[in-house]
Amino acid sequence: MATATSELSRQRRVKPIHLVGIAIIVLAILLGYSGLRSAFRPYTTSISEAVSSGRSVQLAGFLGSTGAYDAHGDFTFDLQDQSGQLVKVTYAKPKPANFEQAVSVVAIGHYDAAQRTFLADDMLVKCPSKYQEQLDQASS
Amino acid sequence: MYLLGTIFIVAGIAMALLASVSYALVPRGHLGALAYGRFGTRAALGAVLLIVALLTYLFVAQRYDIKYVYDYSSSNLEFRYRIAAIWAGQPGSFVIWALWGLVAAQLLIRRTRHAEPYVLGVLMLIQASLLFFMLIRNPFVPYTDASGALLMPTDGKGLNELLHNPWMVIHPPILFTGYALLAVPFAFAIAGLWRRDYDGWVRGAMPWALAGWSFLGLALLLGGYWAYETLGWGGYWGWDPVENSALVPWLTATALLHALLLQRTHGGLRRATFALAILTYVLVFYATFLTRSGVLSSFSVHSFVEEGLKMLMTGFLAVVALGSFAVLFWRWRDIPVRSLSQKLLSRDSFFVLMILGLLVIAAVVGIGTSMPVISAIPGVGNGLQGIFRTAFELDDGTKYGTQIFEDGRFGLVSSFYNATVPPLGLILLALLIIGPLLGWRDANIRHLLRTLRWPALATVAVTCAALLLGVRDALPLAYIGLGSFAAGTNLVMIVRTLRSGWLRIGGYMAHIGMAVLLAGVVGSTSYATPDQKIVVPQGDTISAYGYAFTFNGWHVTPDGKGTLDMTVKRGNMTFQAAPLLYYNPRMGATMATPAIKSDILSDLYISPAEYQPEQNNNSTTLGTDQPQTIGPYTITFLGLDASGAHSSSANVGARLRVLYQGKESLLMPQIHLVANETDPAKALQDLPATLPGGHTISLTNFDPVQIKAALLVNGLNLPVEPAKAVVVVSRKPGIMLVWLGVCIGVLGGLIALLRRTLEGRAQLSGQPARLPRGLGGLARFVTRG
Repeated sequence: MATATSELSRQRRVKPIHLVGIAIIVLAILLGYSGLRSAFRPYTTSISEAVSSGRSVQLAGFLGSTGAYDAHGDFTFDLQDQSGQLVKVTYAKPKPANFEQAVSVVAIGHYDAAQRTFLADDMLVKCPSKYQEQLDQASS
Repeated sequence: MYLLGTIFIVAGIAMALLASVSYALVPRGHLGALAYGRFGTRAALGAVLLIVALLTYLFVAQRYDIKYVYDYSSSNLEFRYRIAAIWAGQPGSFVIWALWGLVAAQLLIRRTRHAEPYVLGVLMLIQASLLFFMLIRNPFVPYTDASGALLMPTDGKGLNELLHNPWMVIHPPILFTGYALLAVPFAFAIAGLWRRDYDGWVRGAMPWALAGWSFLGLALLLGGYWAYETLGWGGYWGWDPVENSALVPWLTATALLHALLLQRTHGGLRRATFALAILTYVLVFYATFLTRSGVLSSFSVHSFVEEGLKMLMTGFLAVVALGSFAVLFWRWRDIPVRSLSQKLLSRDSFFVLMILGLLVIAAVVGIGTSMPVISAIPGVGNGLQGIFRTAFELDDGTKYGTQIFEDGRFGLVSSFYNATVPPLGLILLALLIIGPLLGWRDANIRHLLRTLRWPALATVAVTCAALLLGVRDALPLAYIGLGSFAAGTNLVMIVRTLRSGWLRIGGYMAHIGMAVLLAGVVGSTSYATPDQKIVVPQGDTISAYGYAFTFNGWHVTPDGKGTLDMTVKRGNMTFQAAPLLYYNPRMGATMATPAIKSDILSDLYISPAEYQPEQNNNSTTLGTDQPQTIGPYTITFLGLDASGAHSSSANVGARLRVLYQGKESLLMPQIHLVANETDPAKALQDLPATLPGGHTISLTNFDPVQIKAALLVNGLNLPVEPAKAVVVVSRKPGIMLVWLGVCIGVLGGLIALLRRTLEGRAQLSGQPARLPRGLGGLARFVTRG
């Protein structure tokens, strides 16, 4: 009996490797938590929702204009949602490649109330082609 | 063709199922069924080869009456891309996947001995499902209109131009080779659980796991290289769901390799090895599910759109995952546990920590990528958003507020992976430093320290050099320091092991490859210069990052693509850069391909953004009723006037309303056309109109269809703005190390594959495994074996 309990306690005892393992897992959870805070982007198809929240979202909609470069050299266009509401989108990068062909776009960014525009950090262009290899991807 | 192709597919499914069922009967005592199983396995490969042959014929013969050919090929496509178009769509990629799986199955028939019925029974069931997916998306369907009438177009829609790239031609077959090969360790694991052979399966699975790991790694490299070279993201890795979903099974496959090795050496980690083999294959299927079912179509730039396989794939994924893990839990208590070394400084412990580290990274990347799918489950997304709202404030500069978004779904942007993966990767690198030097059970600390001397010295030297070069941030410095340390100790191990045969160095080489890769990743991400947008007028020179860029003009290349022709100069080195930028009418899209000048230390990356054609401010092209200002005049085009037509000549005029100093006037510049006139100067005569300010205005061209007029004001002499190229340039140090690191790693994997294959073969023939020393020895070994 005595040997059985000592065997059991030997197995139950916390060993250095357990501590290291737990440390790795805890580190991953902490990093994941802080990463989530900065990278979380809710998806919405309503402009009023995106405007009223003011936070970074993925706003999906249709093209309301063909788009042009503004005075600062930023690409701007109007995005329209299903209710017909329009919002100006400003994108500080060159025009996405398949933009002319887009049936819908997803703009990732937030609405800036002062400039009255949706500032997009990134854009996904959805095209009717089958394999949508398009491509205006955040270069990480 | 439709009928014939469908018969081939159905025959393939039937043969694969025949093989699977027959093999399943063998363990129940129906030994005669073994012959049927083997026949089914061979016949299924035959059927798939016929499918591939028929598809190849359809693509080569340009049969555009077949929908699949019409969608992905066209007559102006080069021959090699016409072949590559076979696997451009879903059904084609499934058949390539099944093809490699069946080739692997043929090799397994005679090499698995007692495990054959079990391993092949599982494997053939998988091939049957792949072919079934293909049947649902039958590529032999004729092209019809909405009413079902057959269409016979003379040309197809063409292959996406971004896929016109040699890397893209070989990327999918290599990826599917990796996927197909990783099914084999899975089949061995299920067979092991079934037969209650908890150790023997490891030997059989090892070479296949190594091969699958190498091919998947190579596929990730090719995908990244293609993104870097063709897409112009500026990077090789964008943390896109498509990339992530292939990275996660590669990470678990790496963990699986370590578990297999540990178990093979002294029988530890039995349960974990089974779990990893199953998990890896489930994740391979999960990757396919994510990219092909359309679940991520609002979150990823390049996943396939929904094509009607969603329910089927979800079901299959659930069956594979639940079924195989159920088998594992059913045997869980039956699997004997063998305790590992209690010492932290032992290879046992380091292997366990390495597996844990890999799994933690795989979990972070996998969960992050799955967020759109998880939050799409009704109720879950809104619930999670509710929790996030109360649990923390989001710190991207915006407050969460009290709002829960109606849609519920959410995704994570790439900063999530940049914040989590690099610190965790550092742990793996730290493990790589000491791990290879340790004994399985224990380590002699004094020997260990003595071995570490030279690598430590080298590390100090490299870190100092990095400091001098301007590396100041903690994380990159840690990566460079630990990376060179890890490369150093593994190099020491290679030198030591070479004495007992070069076939044993595979693992250490893979470690060095990983260290080199990480050094390149740190260099090219942390120390890339920021993207700088430069606007270069034609004939002019603009400098950026020490390079002088001269724009020579926009040209059309012989193969019909447009390119921004630039001369780049640095010191006395001059080279031509030709980033492609043109409009592709077939795809209705602007195509852009960067120009890259590679050096050993860094790449110069020139990404085309825009071409602004020459703009003459004295001229304009107007549609009707669009006022335009030229100098002091505001000109409105009202319409064309062709009333002045006679039998031998005609006057075409543009009716204009001109506003000058607050006064409006109507004018009509004209073009006078003379019929039967041979002298071009007389055939088309310019009849300008005089503007109120004394200048004249000419009609230089007109478009009677769209009603447009090109006008030129003479005498104002406003400046002519030259054509301009807008390009984004950056320098990316260490890119070469990324490609080099992956190549070293894959080479290491292939060496290990060779070793394990030879060992496995020797074991089958009952000999002790004696590995050859040199290349000559290898040749003798192979020919004899």
